[in-house]
Amino acid sequence: MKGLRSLLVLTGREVESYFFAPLMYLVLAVFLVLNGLAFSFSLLDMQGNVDATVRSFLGGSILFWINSLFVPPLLTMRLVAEERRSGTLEGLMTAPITDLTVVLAKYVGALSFYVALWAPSIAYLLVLKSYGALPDGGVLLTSYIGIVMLGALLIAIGLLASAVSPNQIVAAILGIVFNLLLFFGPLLSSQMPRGKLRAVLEHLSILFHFQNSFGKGVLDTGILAVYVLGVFVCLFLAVRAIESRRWA
Amino acid sequence: MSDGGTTFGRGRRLTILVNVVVMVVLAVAVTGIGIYLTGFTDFRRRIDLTEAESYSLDVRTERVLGELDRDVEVITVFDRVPWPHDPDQVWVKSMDYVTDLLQEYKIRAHGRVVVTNLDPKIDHDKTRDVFQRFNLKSYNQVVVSCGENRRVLGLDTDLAEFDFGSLHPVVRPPRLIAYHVEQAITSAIFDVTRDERATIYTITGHEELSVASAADLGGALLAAALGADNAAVEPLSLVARGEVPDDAAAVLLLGPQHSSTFLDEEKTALDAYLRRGGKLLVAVDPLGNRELDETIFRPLGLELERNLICHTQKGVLRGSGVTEMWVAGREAPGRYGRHEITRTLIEDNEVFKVVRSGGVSAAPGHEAAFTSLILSPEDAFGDLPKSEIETGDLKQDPRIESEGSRTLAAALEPTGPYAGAKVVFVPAVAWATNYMIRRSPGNERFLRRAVKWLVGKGDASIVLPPQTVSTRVIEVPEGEEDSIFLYTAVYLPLGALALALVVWLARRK
Repeated sequence: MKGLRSLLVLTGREVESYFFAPLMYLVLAVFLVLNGLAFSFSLLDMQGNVDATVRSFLGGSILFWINSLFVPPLLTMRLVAEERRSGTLEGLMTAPITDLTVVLAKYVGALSFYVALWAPSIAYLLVLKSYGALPDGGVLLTSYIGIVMLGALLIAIGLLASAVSPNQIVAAILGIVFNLLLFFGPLLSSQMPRGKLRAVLEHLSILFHFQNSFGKGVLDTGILAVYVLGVFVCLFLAVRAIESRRWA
Repeated sequence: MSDGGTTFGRGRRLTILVNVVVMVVLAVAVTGIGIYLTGFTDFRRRIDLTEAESYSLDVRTERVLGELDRDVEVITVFDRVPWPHDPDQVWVKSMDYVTDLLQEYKIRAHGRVVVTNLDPKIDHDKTRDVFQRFNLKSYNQVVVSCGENRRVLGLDTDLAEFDFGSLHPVVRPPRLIAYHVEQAITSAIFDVTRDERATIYTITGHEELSVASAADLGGALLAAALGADNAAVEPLSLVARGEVPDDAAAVLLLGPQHSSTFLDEEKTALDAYLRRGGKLLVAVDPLGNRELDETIFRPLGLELERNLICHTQKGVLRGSGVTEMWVAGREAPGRYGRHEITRTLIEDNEVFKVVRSGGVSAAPGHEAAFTSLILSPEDAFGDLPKSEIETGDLKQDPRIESEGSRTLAAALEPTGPYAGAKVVFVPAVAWATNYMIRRSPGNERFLRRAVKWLVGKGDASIVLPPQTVSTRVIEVPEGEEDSIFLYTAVYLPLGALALALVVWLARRK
């Protein structure tokens, strides 16, 4: 109970640090510019086909992937690395809270802001509605679930990168490199003959997840497990990384 | 946990290191096992949230899959070449839809259905093997096999219905009308897991369509299509054999010519076959051989007309329904009668200027179950021939040639001495030629379904509705594209910047 209270307090502090930082609103503005471009171009490219527009905008366009792969590391880069550099991490570690609480609070804070980044995109639906058509509700729902799952995974990766990096620049670069590997690595499978390795790589491809599941209105437990377990491993390793400072 | 600042000894450090390594390995292993269990075993589940439940299997399909007692192999050979100038890529997407739904089959069959998706560009050797093994002629097909039994399903003939729009489909991309994937795959699995292989005989000796001929006016494509339905097509000379063999699942009489003659023993053999519940698909041209009209067709309950169905509408041919000629047409709703055979034909396709097809009706005095399968439009008329071998003037003479919708193709289930028999009448043999089948996927679909109905493989227990594809399109008036761009890519971000200013000012206070 006490642990939960600590977690809530710490999470509140982390969320606050995002929503009361002007810099984060600049990030939001850039994010919205890219999202707005992605939406406008998708609508134009798909010649008004509402469902195709949503598929393109939420998982099928380059701008979507630029936003998805580059923004989470920018949100997480300072989480641990900056505290370490400024020396505030030591204070946290001597407080009567567990390392897991620290990691979870930072994670939830970053994820909350990531969700907030995407929230204005729902306004785009109003644009579609004003012209008389809304996309398939199921596809829309699973696409947003996919975005949240993807964000959850990439933020966990970013948090891990931040936990193992000496400063936030290295954390951001490391996070982006991880994300790009996660995106491009499995795509090599498309050039491989059929086999188990290809099946595994395809199963891990975040692009395929959007093409074959989230973007189609289908939730696949196998794909959801990739995200849930990926988050679990990254957070677990992040806790270990922070904990390792005690061993020095 | 929190002994921060303590200096550990070397042994203790080693213990911690081992502890960390073990934990990391365990975490990764647990993750790997979790991903394997949820993604590659029977624990995997897919939840379809689309409004039309596009990725869910019908309960009847699940029953078929649940009752499988042998392994079924499904191989897709899709060449994913994007169609030019098609932003939505419906052609490639239809392939994705097939492979996606097959995943659902795989999951629901609990290991009984093995799905292999081949990409000809990458899986060269395997693709070549499959082509040789199943005698495939082109890409974009799905092979469903079980032991020696097999069925080959075409993307645009069995699995999906496209409107190619014109003789030159490159001009504009195809429009996807409906998916028949579940119907086709489930029926195929149902068929190939049955032991029997139907034998279908084609009557010869009267200059009929040759199912061995690959020429434009041959019927090799029809034979191949029936073969893909797990049926063997054999020629049958009634003169030589004197009867229709007992193993005949159906008999095809494809366009006997006017110049040939039916011997009495042939008529007797055919009549005897029908009296014992035989199944007959007959295609007779209006100017073709009509010797069987009196002796065979009328006693069954079929009245074949001598006229040619004509009308004068002009327009652009659309769709992939049944046709005989690529001629100008227009939409004519309601052209297909309600029947198991016509279930997968879309009712907004072309109309014929001149179809060179004769009409057919129920013969008076018979109680046979007569179903019109294909109807001409209301403004068509039947042009009477000048003689037995000469067409009329193709113009309506209101005095003797009445106007109105006429039955072109029909299904018949006779009663009385012919109870149990089934007959499908097709008004022109040209419908079944290689030339027409190549150009009109609807012709092949119609003929295959007709034979399937006759043979009674009847997927009646697993007839599944097509998955229609509706496209939600908005029209943005010219000039308003800029407004959308401004609203989404400029005003909203400016709002975020305004928030940043507010937060900054609030913090300064």
